[in-house]
Amino acid sequence: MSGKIIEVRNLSRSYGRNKAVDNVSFSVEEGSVHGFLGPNGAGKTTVIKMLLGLIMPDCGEVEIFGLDFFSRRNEILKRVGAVVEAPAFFEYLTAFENLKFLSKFSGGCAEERILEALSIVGLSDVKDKCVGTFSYGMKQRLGIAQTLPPRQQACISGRAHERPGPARHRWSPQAHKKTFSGERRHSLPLEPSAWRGGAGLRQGVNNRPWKDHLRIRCPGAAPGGGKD
Amino acid sequence: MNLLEKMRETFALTDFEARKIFRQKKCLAGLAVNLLLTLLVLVGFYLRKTGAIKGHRQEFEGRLITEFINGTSFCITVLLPAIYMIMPMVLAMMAASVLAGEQGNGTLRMMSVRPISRWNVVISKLLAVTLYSLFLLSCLFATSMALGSLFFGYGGDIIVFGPAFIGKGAGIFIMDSDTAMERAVLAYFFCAYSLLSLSAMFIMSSVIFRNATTAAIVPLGIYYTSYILDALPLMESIQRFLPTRYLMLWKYTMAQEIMWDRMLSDGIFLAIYTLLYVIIAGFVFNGSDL
Repeated sequence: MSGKIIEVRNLSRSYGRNKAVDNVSFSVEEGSVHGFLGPNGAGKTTVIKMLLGLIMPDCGEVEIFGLDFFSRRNEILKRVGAVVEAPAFFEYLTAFENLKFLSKFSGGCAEERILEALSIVGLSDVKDKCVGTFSYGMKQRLGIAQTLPPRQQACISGRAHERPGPARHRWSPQAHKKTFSGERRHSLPLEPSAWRGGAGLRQGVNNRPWKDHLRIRCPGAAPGGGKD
Repeated sequence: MNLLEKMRETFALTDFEARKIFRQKKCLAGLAVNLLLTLLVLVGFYLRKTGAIKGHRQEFEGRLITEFINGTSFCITVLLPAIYMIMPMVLAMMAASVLAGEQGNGTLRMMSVRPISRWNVVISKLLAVTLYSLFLLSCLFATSMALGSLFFGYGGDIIVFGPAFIGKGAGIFIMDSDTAMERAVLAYFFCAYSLLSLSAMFIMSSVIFRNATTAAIVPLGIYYTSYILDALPLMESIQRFLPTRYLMLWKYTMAQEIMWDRMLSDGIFLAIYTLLYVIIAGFVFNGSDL
């Protein structure tokens, strides 16, 4: 496999006259954690949704794991964990049931793996409680947990790391790396606020500052786009 | 993906969708409304039977009821308001909730980043709503038969008011006990078939409108308007195209001789309508942004 896990070329999408995404190209290297920055309305979420097949682009190419996304979608999605915008769960099911069913449709995994994912995000104690009783922060953590089983090789997440509860559970590049330890993981957290929250969040992978890792920009259509 | 894998995926998704429906509190709302309807009809019949309501007409009907009302006839009578009014409303609410509602709260997006086909999502939701309708119908049958038998006695001949089922020109006749029970079961069976088509219409609406409230109100508006147009004398030229035209094929089981030819033709048209709803829903959902 080449060093590029995600490769996007000339991706565009318009809504009527409004060009939401205009000719965006970028790539994500193997074993890296990337941020995707841009002002509100720049088209970050639209790009991520196109990466996951939630929105069809007008033109452009997306390759994940070296495979063309639009012809090998199911094969690729089995290996990708994703949260787009705020994590949403079936509130009348328990945390464990939510993860069990969601992972089942990604190829299935052992119950131990689901319990491990819940343990990583600190939700083991409430695994049998309905998600409807969870606080926003707990739902955020469950959102992170659902990107783990079965052993996904890439994680794409947006807003899932915003205010994810107590400090001990806050997401950081190190935590992310630790979470993905022993596996080849590649991450593309979406929203700028994920890196603005605290000192831990600003720190980069391998003790390098975040700015070294944040290479992807979304110029988008919004006035003043691309300033971040 | 081969056919077997696709069927496995559809089965797994339907199982999941059905579990979701039966875990929600709103699932009980349909049951509660059906039970309330059964109780109201029961009270109405009971008051007639016991002669609590006086008057020449009531006395005459009261005598008929005393003679012919039993578990079977009560069970068939309850079906009329349930299938025309209650079930469409409950199913519209449920279909809007499982598709448009999930799209609104983001859970559909969460599901759609899994390697599953969007066609299968639509089909599994339709099957799950249909399962729910079967559950409601079974409960309606069981409760009405049980309460009817308890209050009016099990079995016996029934009196069929033809105009209420078949329409103008149909007479009033007496059906023997065994035939009545057989017809009641058949009527409920064909109602289930009609509800599949109705569920498909509501799912299609959910896919098109995306907003749960709109997705429930618009098809209900079309449904009730179609019934009114179907009954108006000047609308003959459009009546054959109305979506409700073929929905009530179950009522032909209540004729003196079952109108199988009419049921077959209506059943085929209903299947065509159902297929069209599913195809439209599938294509729209497949091309829509989530």
